[in-house]
Amino acid sequence: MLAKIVAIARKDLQVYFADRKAMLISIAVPIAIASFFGFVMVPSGGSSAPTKIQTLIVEEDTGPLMDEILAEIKKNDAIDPRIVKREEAEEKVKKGDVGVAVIFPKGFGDAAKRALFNNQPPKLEVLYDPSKSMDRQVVEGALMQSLMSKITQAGMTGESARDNLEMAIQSTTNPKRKAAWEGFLSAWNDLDASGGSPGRPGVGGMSEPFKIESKAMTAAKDSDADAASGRAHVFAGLGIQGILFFAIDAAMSLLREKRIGLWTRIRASQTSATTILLGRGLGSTLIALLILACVLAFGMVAMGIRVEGSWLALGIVAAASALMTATFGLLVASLGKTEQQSRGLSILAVLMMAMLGGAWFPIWLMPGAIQTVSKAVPVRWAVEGLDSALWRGGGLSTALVPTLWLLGFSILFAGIAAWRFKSA
Amino acid sequence: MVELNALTKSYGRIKALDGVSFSVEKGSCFGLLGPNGAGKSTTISAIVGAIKPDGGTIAFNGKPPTPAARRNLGYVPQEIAIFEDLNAQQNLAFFGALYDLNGSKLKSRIQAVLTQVGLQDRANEPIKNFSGGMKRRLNIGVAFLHDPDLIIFDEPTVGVDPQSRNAIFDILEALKSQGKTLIYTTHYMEEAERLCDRIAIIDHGRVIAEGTLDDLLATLPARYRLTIRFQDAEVSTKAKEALARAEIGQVAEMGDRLQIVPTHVATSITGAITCLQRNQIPFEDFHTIRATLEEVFLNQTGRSLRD
Repeated sequence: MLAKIVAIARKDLQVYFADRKAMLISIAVPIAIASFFGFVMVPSGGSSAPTKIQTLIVEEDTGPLMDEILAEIKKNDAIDPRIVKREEAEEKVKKGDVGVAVIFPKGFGDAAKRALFNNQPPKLEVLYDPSKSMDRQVVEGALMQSLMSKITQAGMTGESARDNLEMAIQSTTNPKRKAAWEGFLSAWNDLDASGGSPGRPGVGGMSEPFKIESKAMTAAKDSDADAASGRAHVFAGLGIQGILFFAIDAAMSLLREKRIGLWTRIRASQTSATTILLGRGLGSTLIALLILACVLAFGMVAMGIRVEGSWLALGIVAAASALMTATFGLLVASLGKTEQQSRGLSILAVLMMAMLGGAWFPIWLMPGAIQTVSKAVPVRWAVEGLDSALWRGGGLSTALVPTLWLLGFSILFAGIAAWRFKSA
Repeated sequence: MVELNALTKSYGRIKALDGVSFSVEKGSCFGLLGPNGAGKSTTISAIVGAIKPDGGTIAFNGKPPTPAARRNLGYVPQEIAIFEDLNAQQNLAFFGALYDLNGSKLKSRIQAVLTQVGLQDRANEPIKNFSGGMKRRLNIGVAFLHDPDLIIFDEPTVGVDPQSRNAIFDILEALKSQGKTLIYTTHYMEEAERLCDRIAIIDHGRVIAEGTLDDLLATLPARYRLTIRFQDAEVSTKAKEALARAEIGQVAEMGDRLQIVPTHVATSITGAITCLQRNQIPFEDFHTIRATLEEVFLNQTGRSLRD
């Protein structure tokens, strides 16, 4: 049996290497797609800094606080503000030229400061293009950070804080609340008299409670390596997609062999369906591994991808991924009746698996339900395992869970294929 | 050597085999003749073990077929079932490995097969560069690489030009002369007539007639036809009326000629000529032709073999 399995696998390798053009295409296509995505998603030049989101600002408020707010917004890493008139903002967002516009209404600054004490916050108008709702979320987050910082500081320091407290005392009719505010003002005055009033130069006082310092959690040790980490994810994901497409080709060749009588001819030699499938599985696994190795090797040589984790873990996950894709090919061949039928459906299945498995976009970008579903997609485990070994700096132990999942999927796919071929 | 007894196989509601029975003598060539979809390929698949029949039995040399017994047969599929991207040598080496051939034995068998199918000079050339006839020959060569006693051919000449067909017949005749037992399916009656010692006619999954060519022709009302050609259709019509009155057999008019299925060949020939002379009807041509398997099939089913 072993000799027959080896003979079938060797034949598959001979067939693969015999058609040099097809062989090169099977390797070059995933490399080309991964390179393209790598350049688009992770700009070269040693920086992985995210692109700022262009944001239109309509400044209807002309108060002194607005200048400070704008200066703070300009410091934000996430957005690229541009001051425009309301009409222009509305038109550009409507056309889709810009994803988000923020309108600061007249009196916004003063109202925002008072709102710290009177619970009457002014409204900030955000216009957005529905096709860029992700931009809206990012801009809203960035605004919250910048505005909170400036408004809290302006509203809770020095004379401004005293004015706001006095205004709060006058505006409330609730005796208990009035007494509470008066107690707060008294404490404030004591603090001011002792020289500890917030906002006085050199004294300090109430200010923004924290600052955010972002740090990319990769094993990368410099900005070049940081950019390469992003590309490593792209090459891992699209490498897996590439070998899944190879698996479709392998399935089509098996269906063709059935159609022209090769399957029956091989079976006539008293070679069992299981032996044929094991041989085909072995051959396809080796070829898939070769393709994946070439894709990752190209990424390392041309794109600066590094193995920050364990090489052994990388090898194990790559081998398990190759086995999973080979058995996926057998599954496709066992379920399909004709090449034409199967090709379309299996391409759709591969694209869905690649998308849901995080080969195209990181999984965290997807809705929660999809993230849960993705656990049932083998591509997710392949990409996660490769990511861990390539750029997360994962050791051998981090390969265990993805490898077990991939082996589980392989057993499932191979089992269904064997059952289908035997009962055919 | 091979015996099939009441073999049945259904695919859903379709009965592919409906009680197929026949036996094949060692060293003979057995023809399985029938139209497309008659059940020939299903019968072959059951013999080689690629499908499991629903009922009935198959015996090799009087015993149920074991895997070892089945390894002593070679199978030539209807289509060219070889790997086009590999060369002839690689193809033969692969199939040899499936039959546990290796080392010098494998090499010598590859050489012998390549020589027998006339491809010894093209051994290292990719199959995709071969002509259709060359591929067909290699397709056959793969089947006897492991030197089996029984070789089964599933319509090996479909879509083959006459020259290549003759080359294939030469290979088959050589195999037959080596004492191999051959089972040959075809829907070309001429091939069955030329190659086969015994023939089974199969239709709708059932063997409707079986025997030697003579046995099968003997099932017809007459084994020969008389064909008489006249100057034109008008003379032909006149002759038909005269011959019908003479009661020498069934007379059918086909343009300027008549075809007669005689009640008795010898007397019908003299009777027809005498009748025409007596009625002073001249004829251009007169000959007898032997009945064919086509007519046997027509006689048994009421349909043409090529329908």
